[in-house]
Amino acid sequence: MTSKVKNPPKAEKRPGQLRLAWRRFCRNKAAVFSLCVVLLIILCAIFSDQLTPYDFDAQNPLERMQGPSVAHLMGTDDFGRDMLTRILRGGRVSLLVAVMTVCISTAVSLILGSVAGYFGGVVDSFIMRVADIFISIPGLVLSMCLSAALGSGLLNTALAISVSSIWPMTRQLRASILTIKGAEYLEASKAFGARDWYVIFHHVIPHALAPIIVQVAMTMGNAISQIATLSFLGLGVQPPTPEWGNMLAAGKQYITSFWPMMFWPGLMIAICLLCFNMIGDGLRDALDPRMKR
Amino acid sequence: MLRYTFHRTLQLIPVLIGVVVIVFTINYFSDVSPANVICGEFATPEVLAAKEAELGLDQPYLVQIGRYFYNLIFHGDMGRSYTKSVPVSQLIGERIATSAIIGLLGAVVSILIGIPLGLLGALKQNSAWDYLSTTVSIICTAIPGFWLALLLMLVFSVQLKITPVTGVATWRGYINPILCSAFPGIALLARMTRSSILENINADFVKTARAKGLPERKVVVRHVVRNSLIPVVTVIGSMLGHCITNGVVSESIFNISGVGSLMNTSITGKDYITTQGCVLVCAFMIALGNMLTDLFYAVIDPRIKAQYTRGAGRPKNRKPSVHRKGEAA
Repeated sequence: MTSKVKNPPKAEKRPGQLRLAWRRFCRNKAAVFSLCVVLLIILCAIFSDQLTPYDFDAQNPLERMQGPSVAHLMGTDDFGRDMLTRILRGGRVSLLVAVMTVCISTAVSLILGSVAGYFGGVVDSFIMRVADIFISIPGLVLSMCLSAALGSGLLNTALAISVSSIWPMTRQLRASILTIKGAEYLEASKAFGARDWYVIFHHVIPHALAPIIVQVAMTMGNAISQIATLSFLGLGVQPPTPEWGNMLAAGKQYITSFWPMMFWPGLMIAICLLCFNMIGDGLRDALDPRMKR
Repeated sequence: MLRYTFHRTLQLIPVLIGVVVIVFTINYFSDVSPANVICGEFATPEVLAAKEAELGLDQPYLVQIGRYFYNLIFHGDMGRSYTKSVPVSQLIGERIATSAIIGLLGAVVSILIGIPLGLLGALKQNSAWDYLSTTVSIICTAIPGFWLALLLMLVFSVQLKITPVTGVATWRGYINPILCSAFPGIALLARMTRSSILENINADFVKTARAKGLPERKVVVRHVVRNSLIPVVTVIGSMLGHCITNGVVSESIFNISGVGSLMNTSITGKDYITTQGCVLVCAFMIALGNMLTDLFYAVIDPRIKAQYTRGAGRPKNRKPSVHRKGEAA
């Protein structure tokens, strides 16, 4: 990374890598806008109880299936519950599970990928063959099987989704580590008596961090859509807890009579996916100077 | 070339075995036994035990998986569905044609729309066409499949009444599922085509071609497009491989009896043996798609063909030469 950024030190204090990347990121207006939207959604999800006067679970049979109005900005659902409150509250579950998924899969793939790339040989081929097998199972199907086996619940859903997202990340990490394999600074570090783990954590992983950060943003979007898909199919998160996927599933039966019920949750998922993809693109452009035109 | 194909085919086998082992293991350690689902909530322990013995579920892990492989390899038998008591191969055989038609036509639609969109975007960079192309691909990637299916149903079936809400009794019934499976492909192909052409359009060999006076059309077709095909072919190959898998959600929504919806009902209904069969078929399709992609590379790029014929084995598996600065060769 260091050798690629041609930025001679202007003053005594040279801006760090991160700051440079951040500046490049800020130049991409779409990415910055998406980041703001995501932050807004996260804040709304956290403070969902304070933002609207309604309780997400309070049923009101007199006001069922109403269109958008001043009192209910997104209308009400089949039990007369305020849709906006439920959407905001649903974001909590989706984002929480997505963050858990990303944490689990990033941690595991960091270890697997760096071990495979750094040690090579039998370990490498073993991990990569396992990755080949997991990648041949379609991600959604794998997480459906796992989710059905593990049962519902937030942690189980996160586990089920992360198992399928570990492997592409591992592959990517290994590929970028192979490019520095045999580099002199690794040898130098070893010559000073560093252990393998020290070299991996201090030299190998920092080198591969840029593609991983991009991958994290993309995985977030993917995880949100997978959580919603699982809940939509009746696996994942179960109905009393509002979640975008199971809200969509509830709205599906009223598609002929009251379509807004299936419109809003889907729109939220689409917005989240869109934003995380844009952030990912922005990060890629910011972190990979080679791609810059 | 033939030797390479043969080796590549042999490499499919360990992957497929691994896939079966993984799915089997997940199902084996699931906390709900299929017997519970078949016999209902109120079945006595004796009834459950008898049912488990009948299905062979009381055997140890290794015996069960060994028997599954034995039947699969020596008799081509994928077992009998727990809930429908019909051979799994028959269940899949009845449904695979519908799924394949939808998946393949979806792939065709996305190729017909996605590649021209990407081409337009790249050749007229920063024009209105370019913005159209990028916007379409961004929006298509952001819409989750099941919401897309519901939106299509809402617009075409409920509001415009062009297509039936569910089922494929008439040809009109195929419109929604095909569109649904085409959308993600359109986005991916448009984006891939655009970026891959942009990478080549300012390359030195293209400048040379222009400099020697070749008409622009020939420059594009002969030099730019041909050299940009590899990533596009990769996407098409994986689309063909995933053509059945993509139906898991949309087939369930449109109530089509295909392999996707079979997989969905078998997973939720704990019909593990059917799930295994479906996943095996899907993994086979995906692996086959990847293999065809690798073989097609040789048709496009003589350099890769030379690599294949020189020695057997996947070129990807070769140790990449080490470049210290991280620049790809």
